[in-house]
Amino acid sequence: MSDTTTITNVITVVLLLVGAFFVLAGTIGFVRFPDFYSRMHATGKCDTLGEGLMLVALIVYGGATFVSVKILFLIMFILFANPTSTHAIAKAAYDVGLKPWRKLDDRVEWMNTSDTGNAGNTGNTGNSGEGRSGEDGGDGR
Amino acid sequence: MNIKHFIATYIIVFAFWLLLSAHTDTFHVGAGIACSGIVAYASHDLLFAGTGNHALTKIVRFIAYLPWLFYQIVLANIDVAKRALSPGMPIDPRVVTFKTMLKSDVARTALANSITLTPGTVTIDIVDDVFYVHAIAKEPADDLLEGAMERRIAHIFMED
Repeated sequence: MSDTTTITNVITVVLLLVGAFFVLAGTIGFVRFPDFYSRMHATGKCDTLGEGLMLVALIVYGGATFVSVKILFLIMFILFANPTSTHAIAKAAYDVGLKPWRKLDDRVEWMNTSDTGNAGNTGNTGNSGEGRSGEDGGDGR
Repeated sequence: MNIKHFIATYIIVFAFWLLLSAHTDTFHVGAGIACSGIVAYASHDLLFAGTGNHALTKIVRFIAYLPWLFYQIVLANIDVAKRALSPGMPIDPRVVTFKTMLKSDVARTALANSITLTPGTVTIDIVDDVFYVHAIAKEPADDLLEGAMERRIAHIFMED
């Protein structure tokens, strides 16, 4: 009996620590990344798994109870709500006209006028091509 | 008002009520019946909107899609954590666009959310058929443009 309790506790602690690690990594990314959009990557993604793992830890610790089922629904809710809100905030920033940060090597600063278009974009390293894809050539948005 | 959708929504909402309340006395169940009725009446046209035909097949395929999605989420987190913590901070953000073949709103929403959840990409906007995606580096953008995820979504919603 006490053996199972120990194993449960160990699993709980490990899941909590890994979850905390991802939340920490997300926060560090939030501080280090250069602009709004890349910070969205850090917070929007690491939180999903970090919170998810911590909630799973609570399920493991609590066992098969009604509360665990509710936590399970909480995980599902986060899974849907997190990308949706990330997208909503990113779209709001994009609509307002915030320009994504670019690495400044041989590139034109991110297409601030529409007429630079694809011409300014040819210096990019290896566009994946295939016809259906391409860098955002700045269509005046 | 579609009576079949109303009843189906009623049953689902009420089952959810029972699950969350975990009380079986008359008051709680009675309140559940009343509330579920109101909610089902208000939202009976939402739950089944856009599923069209073969709803069951789509649901089964969507559930089968989830394990792969979870795997992608784990990869996404390791990827971002690595980029955030490594001293050189190997990021090279860019906005990429691609034209989607998906038709229905549900399928597009599923694709947009899946893109946001997977390694290094966030959906910014959908204008007509074109997805605007912000990628944190070149590799995630190339993976996305390869189109594997779109094909999976198309398969789920029977648009391939």
